[in-house]
Amino acid sequence: MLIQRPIRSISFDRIIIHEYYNPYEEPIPKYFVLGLPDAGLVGAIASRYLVTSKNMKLIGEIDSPALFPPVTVVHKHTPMSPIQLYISDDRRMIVLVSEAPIPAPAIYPLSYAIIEYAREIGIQYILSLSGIAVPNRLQITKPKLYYLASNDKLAEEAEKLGFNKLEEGFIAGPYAVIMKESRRRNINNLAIFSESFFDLPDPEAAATALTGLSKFVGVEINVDKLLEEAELLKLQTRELMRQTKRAMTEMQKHYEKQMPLMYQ
Amino acid sequence: MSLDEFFERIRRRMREMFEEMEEELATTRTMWSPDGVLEPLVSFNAYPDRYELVVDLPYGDLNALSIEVRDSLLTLKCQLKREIKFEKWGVFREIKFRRYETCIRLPPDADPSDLRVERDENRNIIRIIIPRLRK
Repeated sequence: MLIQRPIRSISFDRIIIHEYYNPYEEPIPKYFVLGLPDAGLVGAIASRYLVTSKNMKLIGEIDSPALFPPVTVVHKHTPMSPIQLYISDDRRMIVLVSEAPIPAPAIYPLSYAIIEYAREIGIQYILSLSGIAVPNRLQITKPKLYYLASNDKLAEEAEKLGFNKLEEGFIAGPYAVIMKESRRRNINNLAIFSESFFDLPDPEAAATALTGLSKFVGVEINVDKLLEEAELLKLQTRELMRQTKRAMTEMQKHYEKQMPLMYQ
Repeated sequence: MSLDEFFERIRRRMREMFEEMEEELATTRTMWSPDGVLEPLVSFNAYPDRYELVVDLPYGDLNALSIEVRDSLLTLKCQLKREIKFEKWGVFREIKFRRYETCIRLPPDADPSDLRVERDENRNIIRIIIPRLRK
């Protein structure tokens, strides 16, 4: 079995985080990378690749009897929650991978749980990896990177790295909630958006998002293998993409195509 | 309200109900069959002058692609470049996937007589462009 009994289980509202590691052991993880399924499955594909390519260790699960469907995923004969936490060898980075879309009623509680857990264990940066759907994606060979930061200092850092600022518009879903709540609580949250398809898995966009992450955290992430495996990943993630499309409809993702009333 | 309008309303409502049912089924059914047929993902976009269907066909052999429209029903078939099998996938490990197949009902104002297909061989994605009939 990859994991057995949790060392600790913490509840945040109706969300439970089961830990299989000691989060307070030095060095305390600095980055919390989120890979939730949304446009183009960018976050999900990127986080999965990050975990497998860096051979990260499974250290936690997120579950909710009240808000998540009663689903267990099996890996190496180990039953576990579809939302898992991994840690890098040097303990600098925790990565959240979700193998199932987040149901709309779970978005607020899960987002708050992520923020509160990050604060509890002393995380310095929450980094959200996501896709931002563009209608002409088929014509784009090199997707652009955009960013949204929860404070000016973080925005400056992203600006220096050459990311494009998301000036006006809407974002919807868990990353949207995490972002506005992080700003209110003065938590460092950087969302890295790569131009992507909306409802087709987009490994190229995931590779671009990882390149941005690599620059920000200063860790080399070679995405060659991800691009080589793109066809297989697209085949494997068809059903997740379809379910995610439905979840995106429920979380009002269509807002992202609209111009805000207060556009200036 | 005339009788024609009344029946047209009923027809429209029934169409909507069938569409809702199709959408519901689409999200709960599997996208493959035990005899090796895969359903591709299709991104459907409606623009004022045209409909666009972007179809993702990973491992698809675009030289072995066929698209046919009959009575507003678009049928797409595409062979895979090679058989695909997932050897650790629970009780489904024996299934060999060989081809894609899907049927898409086109909206009433789609004009398939002028249908155009663009192929992206590198990404194995095709774009089907269907003009809309002008009223």
